Amino acid sequence: MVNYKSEGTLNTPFISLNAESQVLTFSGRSLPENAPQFYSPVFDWCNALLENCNKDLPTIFEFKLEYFNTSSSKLIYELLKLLSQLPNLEVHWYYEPDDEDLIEAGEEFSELISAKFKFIELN
Amino acid sequence: MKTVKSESININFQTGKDPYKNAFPLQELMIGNNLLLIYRGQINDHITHSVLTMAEKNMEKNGEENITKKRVFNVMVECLQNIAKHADDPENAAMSKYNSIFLIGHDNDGYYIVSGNIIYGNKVQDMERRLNLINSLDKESLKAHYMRIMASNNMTDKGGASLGFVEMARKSGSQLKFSFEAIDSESQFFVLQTSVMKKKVA
Repeated sequence: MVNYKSEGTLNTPFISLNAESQVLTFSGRSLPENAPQFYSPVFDWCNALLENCNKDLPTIFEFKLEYFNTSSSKLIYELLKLLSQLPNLEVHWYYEPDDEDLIEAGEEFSELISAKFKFIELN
Repeated sequence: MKTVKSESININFQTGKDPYKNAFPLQELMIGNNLLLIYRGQINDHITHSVLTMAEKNMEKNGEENITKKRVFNVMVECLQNIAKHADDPENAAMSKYNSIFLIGHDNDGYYIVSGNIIYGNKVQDMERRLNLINSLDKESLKAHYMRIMASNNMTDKGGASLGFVEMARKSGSQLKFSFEAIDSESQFFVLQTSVMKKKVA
């Protein structure tokens, strides 16, 4: 399986999907107007991971986005739902201490998705 | 507070001798009415990001708290992308006074994000129903409503999540103000105002 990388822009996130370490990182801003199109290769990659993953290794979803629109939010939910089929999914949710809305968004995802959630404060 | 009336503005590009009069009264009009930014015309992805950048720089200059900046930014994103995705453009030149408009107001208490755009056909009833429902919900019910839509609805064919208004209401923490003004039998002008109040330092 090849790794996937998308360099961030002002409106789209940095994404790194690593097949060996099974660490999936999303950071920056996710505001694409056509979010389904933007996330389509990410869904393809995650579907391939479901077939090929190393079950002894946890899959870590590193969420470091600072801004995301509602269509990105919806797609991240769909993505996490897909990945929650993996035996060992961990979501690492990074947040700034003064950003109560981002913490709340993470808590909401943790209520909807069956995975281990870890909240990590950024300094 | 002094409110500048639009009648006091008299711009004359062709015969006016003093270009100062073509610019400065507008400045006063904006300051007197707490207007940070006004945009009129088509709203697309490109314009959205320019407007966002301008407003973001402005809030940074004002030294706003991170949480306020992010809430205003999020409301603007949803509002502008809603229009870019769903709004109808005026069908002919005679209707051009019903172009989309977007403005941001700012005072000591908060930011006010206002948009106006034309809506054709029978979409109004559904929008009104959704907005009234949102305004009837308290903070916890709004959160439950948001999560229910997130977990159950499919994306629209335009890639929307049907969460825009709910998100705006949640970031605002108060009711969404809206109105529909009939233009003719087929179209209405929809105006939506979302207020984001600054967090009071205890």
